[in-house]
Amino acid sequence: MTDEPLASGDFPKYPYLPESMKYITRYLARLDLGHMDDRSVEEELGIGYAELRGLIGGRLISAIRDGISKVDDRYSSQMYDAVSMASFIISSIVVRASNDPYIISRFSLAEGRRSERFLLDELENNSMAGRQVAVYVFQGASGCSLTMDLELTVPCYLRLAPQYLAGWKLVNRSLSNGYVKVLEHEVGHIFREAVAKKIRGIIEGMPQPTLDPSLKGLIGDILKYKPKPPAVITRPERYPPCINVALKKLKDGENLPHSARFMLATYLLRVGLSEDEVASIFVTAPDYNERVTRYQVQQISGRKAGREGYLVPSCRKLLTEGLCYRDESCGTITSPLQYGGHTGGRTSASGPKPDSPKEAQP
Amino acid sequence: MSVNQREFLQSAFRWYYFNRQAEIKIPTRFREREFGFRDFDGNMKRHISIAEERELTALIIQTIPRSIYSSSSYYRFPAAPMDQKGWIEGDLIFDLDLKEVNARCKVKHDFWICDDCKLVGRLPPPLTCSRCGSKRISKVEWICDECLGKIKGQTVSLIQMLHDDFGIRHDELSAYFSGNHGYHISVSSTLYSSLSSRERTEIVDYIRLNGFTGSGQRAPSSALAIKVDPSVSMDVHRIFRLPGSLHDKSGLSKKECDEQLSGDPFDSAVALREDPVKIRITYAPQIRLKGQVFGPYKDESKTIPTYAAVYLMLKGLAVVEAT
Ligand code: SF4
Ligand SMILES: [Zn+2]
Repeated sequence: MTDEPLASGDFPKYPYLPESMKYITRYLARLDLGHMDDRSVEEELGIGYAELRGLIGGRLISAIRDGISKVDDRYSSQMYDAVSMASFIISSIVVRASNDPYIISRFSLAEGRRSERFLLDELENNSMAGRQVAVYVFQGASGCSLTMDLELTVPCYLRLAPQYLAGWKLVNRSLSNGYVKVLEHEVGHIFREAVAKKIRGIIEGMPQPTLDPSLKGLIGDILKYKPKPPAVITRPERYPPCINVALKKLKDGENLPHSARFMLATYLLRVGLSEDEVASIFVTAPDYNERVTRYQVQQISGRKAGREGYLVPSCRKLLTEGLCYRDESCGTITSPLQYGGHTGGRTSASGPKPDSPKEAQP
Repeated sequence: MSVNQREFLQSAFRWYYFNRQAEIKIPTRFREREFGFRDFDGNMKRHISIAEERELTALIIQTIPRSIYSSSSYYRFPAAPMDQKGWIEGDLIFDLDLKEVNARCKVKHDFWICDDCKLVGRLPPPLTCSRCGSKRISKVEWICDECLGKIKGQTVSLIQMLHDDFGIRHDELSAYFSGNHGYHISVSSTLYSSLSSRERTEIVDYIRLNGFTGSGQRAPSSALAIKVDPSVSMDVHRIFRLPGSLHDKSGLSKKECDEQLSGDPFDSAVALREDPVKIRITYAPQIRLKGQVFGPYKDESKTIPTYAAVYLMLKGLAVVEAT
């Protein structure tokens, strides 16, 4: 493999990689985002400011509205590189300025989806060079190396694989000598989430910027596409702290871990919400996908299949998962279902508490 | 336990820790590990750190603990309270014990004993003793060649799986007889040591076939459930019996084995001295130690070697009569 598998034309496809960022800062160093004017933009990038702002707006709106950032292919070659990279960086800065967890997560994921398409192109053209680029870029985004045969080491696989589908569970994969084989579309999925995480990190690490009023205006434009939380939660005072904290985070557009979503779904189903109502509360999740969410809620409820459905995790289990926010109102309950004096239902097996470990006595 | 009994047991342990010091295996990176001791009154002391090897041996000799533990994890501050220890990484541990492996012979040799009147009976245990009405009923787990063979077989399969499926190298894996009814595998691999508790649970699920759908990429033919104890592998803050130390329920030592687990642990792990001692035995099924068969016993006095006497005493089935 060559030391530099990326050509400059690749930078806009993977703008979050360090070498891409280095390339663009050359152009951007002399722009003042607090006072944008036509002449300096023209000088640096070869297009007018209005046109650049249009590109940034298009990128942001497609990201927040559609969940995937628009790939602009109107420009070619060198100029395209610089313009596209500039639109990525300035979009990220606008997103940072919004200070909104939903917008930050949603944009990061949309950029992940955009970048995933390019990665899949590299894999699909089935050339050695394409694979090398894919492997290189994968490593840059995730910190894990992918072999040319598309395998990950078991620890990398465990770190990167999504946790919520049975097909991804290690127990259903074939392992050989410490490696797990992944299919092309799975590489894409893992890559997308790794890129999202990386970009989220970049954005969250930025200082709060001062923006030109015309750029600031974009924040209002994109916030229009932020979904409204449904009104199915009517009596939050009847729910325990763990549930209310998770609901609040979800409402704010934070990207909840799978364990928290599982807790919410099992709990809300048990206290009597319908599958549709439960599915609807996830509309404010940055990675919301109506079909997948409905399917998952159905799986958890088991009503359609005539099964019993998954049990609400115990307080102990939630504590180990960092989801318990016990206060005096919880008293000595062992399941969120017992909150407020309810006798509660059965809860699932609990794990050990992290801070009062037992010694093994084998 | 009466003072007399406790003193006898402690002196048996003292003999071992004085005369067999070389058996104690000081673990690698001991400065980064947490140590723990349980004394003969049952008090547990944790969050102990060791700066030098001889500090550990000195502590053992001074206190003669009933159990000695060390953490599988490495910490920046091993002596700090749990939430301030600064977890660095941890070996991957698998525990295979009779409790998890439901052997058929269990019903033949396990039994219950009333802690008050010492009445003995077959499983399942009653809620109250049929003779004295006491509610203090203990279940006693026993081991025979059949269940030992079964647990060995599972452990050998696990070792094979760790090599073939997980790519663990031979020099990264250590296997131990636990000192009582099971085996312990410890994997020290830089690749795996940083895994979180959740990720370790995924590995346990793989081994135990939890959540196996049969429709994924894994061939059903390669799918054989091995009953490792899930909570042991997922809890990265546990402490484990120190290799070479004595088990508090048997007086046998935790002993390193080869990967085939060859040999009889009830021979090689017998650690205490031979000197005969007279004990009063309530009840005990047959047991073979060091190639010699003891029992079955019922309500009798016997003079047997110290290691066998201690074994029965630690199972709660005998008391020493005279020393
Ligand atoms: S104690 Fe139980 S109900 Fe209360 S916050 Fe914690 S997990 Fe929720
Ligand atoms: Zn048996």
